[in-house]
Amino acid sequence: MKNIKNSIGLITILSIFWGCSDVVDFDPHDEYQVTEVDYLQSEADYQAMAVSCYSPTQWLNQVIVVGDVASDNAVAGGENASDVVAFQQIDDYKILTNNSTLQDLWLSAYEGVNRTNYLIGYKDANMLGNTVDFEGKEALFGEIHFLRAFYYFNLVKMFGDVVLFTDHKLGLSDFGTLQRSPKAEVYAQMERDLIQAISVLPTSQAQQGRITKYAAQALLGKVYIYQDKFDEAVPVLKNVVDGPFSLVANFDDIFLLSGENGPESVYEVQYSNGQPYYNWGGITRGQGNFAVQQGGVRGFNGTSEMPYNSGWSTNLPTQDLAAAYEDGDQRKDATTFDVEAYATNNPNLNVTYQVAPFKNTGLYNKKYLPRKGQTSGQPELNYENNQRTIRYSDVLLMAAEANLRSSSANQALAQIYLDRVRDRAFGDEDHRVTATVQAIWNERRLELGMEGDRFFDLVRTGQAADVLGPLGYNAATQGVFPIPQREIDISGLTQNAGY
Amino acid sequence: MSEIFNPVQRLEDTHNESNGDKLYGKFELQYDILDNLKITSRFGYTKWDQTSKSFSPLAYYGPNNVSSDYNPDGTVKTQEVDNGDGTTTIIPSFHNSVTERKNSNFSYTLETFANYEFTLNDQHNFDIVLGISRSQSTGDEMGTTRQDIRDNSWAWADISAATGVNTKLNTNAYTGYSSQNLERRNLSYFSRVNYDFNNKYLASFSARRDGSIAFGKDNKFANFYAGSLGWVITNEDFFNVDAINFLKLRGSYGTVGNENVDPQYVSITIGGPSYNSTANSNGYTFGTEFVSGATVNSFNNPFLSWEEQTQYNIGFDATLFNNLSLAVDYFNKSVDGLLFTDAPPLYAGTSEPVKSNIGSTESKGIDLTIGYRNSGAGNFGFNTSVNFTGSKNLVTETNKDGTAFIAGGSYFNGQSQMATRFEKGFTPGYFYGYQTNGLFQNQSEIDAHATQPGAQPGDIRFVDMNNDGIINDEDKTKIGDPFPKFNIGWNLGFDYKNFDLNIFTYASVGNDIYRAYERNAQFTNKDRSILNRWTGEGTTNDAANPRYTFADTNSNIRPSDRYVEDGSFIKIKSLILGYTLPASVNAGFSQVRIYAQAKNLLTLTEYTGYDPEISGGILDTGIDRGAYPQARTFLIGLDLKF
Repeated sequence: MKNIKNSIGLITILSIFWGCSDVVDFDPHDEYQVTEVDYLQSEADYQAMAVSCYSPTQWLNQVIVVGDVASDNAVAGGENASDVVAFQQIDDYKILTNNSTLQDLWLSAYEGVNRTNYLIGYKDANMLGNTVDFEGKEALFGEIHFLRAFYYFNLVKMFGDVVLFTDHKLGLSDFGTLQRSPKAEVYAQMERDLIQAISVLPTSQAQQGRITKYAAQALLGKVYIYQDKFDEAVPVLKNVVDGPFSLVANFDDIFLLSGENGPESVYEVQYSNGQPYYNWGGITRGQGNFAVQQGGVRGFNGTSEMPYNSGWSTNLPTQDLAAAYEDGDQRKDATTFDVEAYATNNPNLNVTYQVAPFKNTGLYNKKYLPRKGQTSGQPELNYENNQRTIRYSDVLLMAAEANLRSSSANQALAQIYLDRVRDRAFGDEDHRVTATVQAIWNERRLELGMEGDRFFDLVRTGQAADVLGPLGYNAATQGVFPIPQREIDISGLTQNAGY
Repeated sequence: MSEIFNPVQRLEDTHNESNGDKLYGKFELQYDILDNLKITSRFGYTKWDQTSKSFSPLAYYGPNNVSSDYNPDGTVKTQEVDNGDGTTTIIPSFHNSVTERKNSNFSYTLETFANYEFTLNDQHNFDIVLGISRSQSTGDEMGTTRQDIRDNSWAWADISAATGVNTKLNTNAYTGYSSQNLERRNLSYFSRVNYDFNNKYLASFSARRDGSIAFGKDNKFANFYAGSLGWVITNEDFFNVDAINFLKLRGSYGTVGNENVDPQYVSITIGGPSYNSTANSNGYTFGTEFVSGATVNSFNNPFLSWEEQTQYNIGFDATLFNNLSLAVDYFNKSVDGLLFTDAPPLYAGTSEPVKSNIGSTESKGIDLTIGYRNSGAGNFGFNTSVNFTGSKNLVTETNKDGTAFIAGGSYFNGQSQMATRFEKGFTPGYFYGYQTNGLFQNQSEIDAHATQPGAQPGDIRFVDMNNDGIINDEDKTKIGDPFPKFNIGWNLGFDYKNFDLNIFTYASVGNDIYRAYERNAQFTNKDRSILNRWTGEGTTNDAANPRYTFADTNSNIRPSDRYVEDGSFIKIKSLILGYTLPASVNAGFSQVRIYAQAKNLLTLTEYTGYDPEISGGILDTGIDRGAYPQARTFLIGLDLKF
């Protein structure tokens, strides 16, 4: 009996001992979880986080589609009127504020802003206050500053005034407290980031796709041109024009797999099929380029030599775009793919296909047509085609425009740059035109067709109402898209005019 | 990107098997220190292990369905991969696979408390308890997946029979994983005093301090109190009404806590593409080389604290004429610091959202139960009771300045839509959208109406709530309330000789349902109500039946009262008929009873969907996304008592 009493006493004491309040303390390490306090302790940690600052650039491939569908270059296409509704709205200029594509682009670009902010915030000292130094750290942060500017540039060109924050990744106490900043302030931030990036970035990188000084200069030039700051754009673009780039003689080759990161590539968002991805809840968040699948011909079949895969007949080039090319311009067939002509001209391939069932133009985006062997796993989500974000010819045309429109206009230089682009397009020097501002703008449409620049160029140059008005464009929107309704609901932001 | 599947095919292609073992029990030691002072230590535990297997066959859902693993000709889809030496290989894009997992869980509660009873002056009875309790639960899981099952058949679906081998071209043929379940720990100190005076006046008071692993450093512990008072009037000497056998007045007040959230911390995710809810992917490709990356994966909420529910009620219990019972209560239940996954702003990015204390709600009303039981004389027994509950529900506070709200009830009908809101001054999760006012019959009606972009004859006319001459998001308003005005439960029992019959009927009156399962897409099934659609001027003016159009420039599919229906219903939830064997034939058991039961026997409702009884969280109540209806079940059972 005494033993029992003793053991009861022991249990009682034990349970009180176990009752210390640290019983309910939580340590994530018990679950083998890495927390932010554990991280950024070594060079490898900084490098890994820098890599993921690049990831959201891959999620923005739909900006390219938006830039053409919203313009006179392309129509939404799709299976029927209820398919790809987000693009039908953009195509028809009847954009609802809950447009899912625009919402995802807004979200994706802001994830990029938060990631770059976070890393920049812990550059000098990590969360524990320790400094981690390593060789090339400054240059690495140059890449991060470039990326932040790239995300803000995409936001501003789509939405105008946007929420601007640069000092940290947002947390709960920030939610609902931020408002939109005038786009001039956002542009000023991009300029600061890019100038910082240019000052530390190397002119070449061992790994393809890493940001170089030239990429940062080209983007800064674009940022200047979007603000009509031509005097500032001229010298910065000159650096890139004089850089180690050249135009690829055969225009079509630029967009082949073998043409990736080629001599004309200033900045390319990299994609691959090496990590087969199957998350339909986040179609743009893998390593593949989803826009490729969208643009393919439906039911496209043929012999094993026929190089193309099927797709979803979305983002179809217009006949208007095809007609804009002169005879002899090699860019026409490299930009607009006439499927009927292809089938007729290649009888040995036994080509069969389904005519695009909605808004058919007979044409497809040749630059990013899905090809056999270039995807993996869930084939729709894993095309490895890089997005040619800034090509050398784009830089030449920007430099031509800046030289022509700067306060000390240099017509001769503008002419030289424009000639280089046209000479390549025609393979001769017989098709040169006088370098007027309008001629350069027209050339941008032909050179960069289906690369997502057209709508934003029309807006920036003030041509949108004239060119797109007959297609239903609502000038009251001033060329910007609606702030996602969900964001307005959650954060109380103001809506853009016209929506 | 929501594919439409043939549900029968889906069912055919789903194979799961699961076996569990559960062992539970308790040890208890009691130490009587004095006659009226006891110390009790109790250890209760549950050990639960589960082994399960699932099989994902290669499947075909039609030529254009992205989940089809086969080509239309029955061959598995293939892909061409680069071998890195200039040659390519064609390999299958998809494999069938079997996954086997084992998980193991253990939880326990250890509590020790002292109990002291004493009486003063022979009339004041006290019962005092003081104690401490600690609980913990842990678990882990391991699993293996292997591809290539013979005959694409469940019959061969086992790791030992699968033939997948990892190669350079397919590193997913044979994989394994392990995971730790989140450990949960709680600690409580508790006390209670019960008091009665001559069984006439009753009082009790309790206080507890609860700690949970779930909350931030400063909010781990919270105090909760409860008290009640009762007066048994019928025990008073002065009370002498024959018709009233028992009458007790009572009132209570109490608070309890809810900690049903996971502990929060800012995690780092390392790797490549993500499959989590926000697709917060990592990594990048440089040239052709994939490099994995790292990023912050979650927000942090250091302020997260206990959700506190406060309830008070006043009422009485009575027994009249020996067999009529009556219980009436007025109740008021409020919840402060409601725990809910807050929707972060989009500009905060794709980190996973976290739980927050989002606001307060109040629910008040009346609960009334009347019962009757006959004396049981003769062979015939009869009892019945009716329960009536009517309540009003209201959001009394949202986090910020009271203007904040939370949107929810998301669904997809060709566009992503949201149909509910949590907002101060309204029912929690009330339906929010456009109010309709019939259909535009012709162009002149459109011209006469506020600007409604894209409207054509046959489209829905939406109401310009703010009278600004334009129909836009600011015209959205309350279009429905998912809460019933009242519920009634009716229980009816008979027994005659060895037979017994019990029927339970339940009614919900005044709850709205939002039909979120209709989809505006070609090549999908439509509800037969589409036959009543507008087909020309004067054919119909019912806003639920606009012209049918896939282009839908007017967005007839936007959230509106077009989709809101009265979901009132009456259901016979259960009917049981039993027979108890006579004692002479019950083979050594003390009682043997066989019974037949029908569940969900009958539903009476005007609701056009499958089932008007739709469960869901705060923001999903009454949102019918085409949930699988409750099954009508028939059971036969045998009760043995030893």
